[in-house]
Amino acid sequence: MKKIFLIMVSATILCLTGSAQTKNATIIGEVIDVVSYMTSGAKADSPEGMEILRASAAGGNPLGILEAKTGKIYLVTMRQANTPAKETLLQYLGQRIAAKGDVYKKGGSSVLVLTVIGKSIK
Amino acid sequence: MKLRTLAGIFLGLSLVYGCGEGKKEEPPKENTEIELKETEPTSPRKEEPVLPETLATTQEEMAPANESAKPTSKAKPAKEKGATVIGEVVDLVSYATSGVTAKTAEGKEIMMASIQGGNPLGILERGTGEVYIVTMKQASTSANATLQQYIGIDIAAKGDVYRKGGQQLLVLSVIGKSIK
Repeated sequence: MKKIFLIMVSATILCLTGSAQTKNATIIGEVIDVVSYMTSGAKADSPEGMEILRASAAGGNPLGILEAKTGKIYLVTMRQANTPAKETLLQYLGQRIAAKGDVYKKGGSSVLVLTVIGKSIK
Repeated sequence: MKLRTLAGIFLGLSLVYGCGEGKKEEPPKENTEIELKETEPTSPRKEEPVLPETLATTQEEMAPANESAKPTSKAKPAKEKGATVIGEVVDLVSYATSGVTAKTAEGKEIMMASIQGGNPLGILERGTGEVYIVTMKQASTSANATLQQYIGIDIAAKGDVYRKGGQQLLVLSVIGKSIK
């Protein structure tokens, strides 16, 4: 009975705070410029696309990850605050990557707090 | 017996508020006046498709962003022209990870540190609790530089909204203080 009570309390707190977190998730996909992709579907799959993405990112737009399996877009931040996510992600533009970290979902937006990123060999 | 009663109360609360929907904010009150400011007019963004100079305001003027785009939540259109978003400026990362807004001095400080670290600012819509990534219609100014001036202030923002991959993007053309 006590266990049921504790589970209900936890569920209620989670429902009321409205935040969802998935720890240590792995996302396989590609690095995109969120703005270019959302407005015109531009990806780094051609030299022109790559140029557009670089220009957009240089203009201050955020880079993110487009998950291959689901088509979901993740905004990315670094777990270690000293490096901007953009600097890290720029190296992987146009490549298939695997990224690991905690995923937070709130207000319809998904954010990946990145811990590990590398080329996906799948 | 007592525990069973308490468990019943919590179950009731869970059902009333509903799981997965998140904390609902109070619905927006009617804004009678909105003070809007045009963003810096400069050369148009290169990579953007044709964006009209004048802002469309009717549902009829909406057009699909792209054929493959799927409407995300609650059958909202993939592209919505001339939409107005009323809410507050938030740091997208701080808000998503810990619910931080600029309502307190500490929140403001956390947000400032986060955006200095390169994280994007966005808009948290009042009423729906939905978050918008923001970019400028005119590419010469970064969205963060514009939005930073409005941290901690209720704002009204106008532009085209794109929905894709679970995210919402506002291509900002006008922003100003929201006045009740």
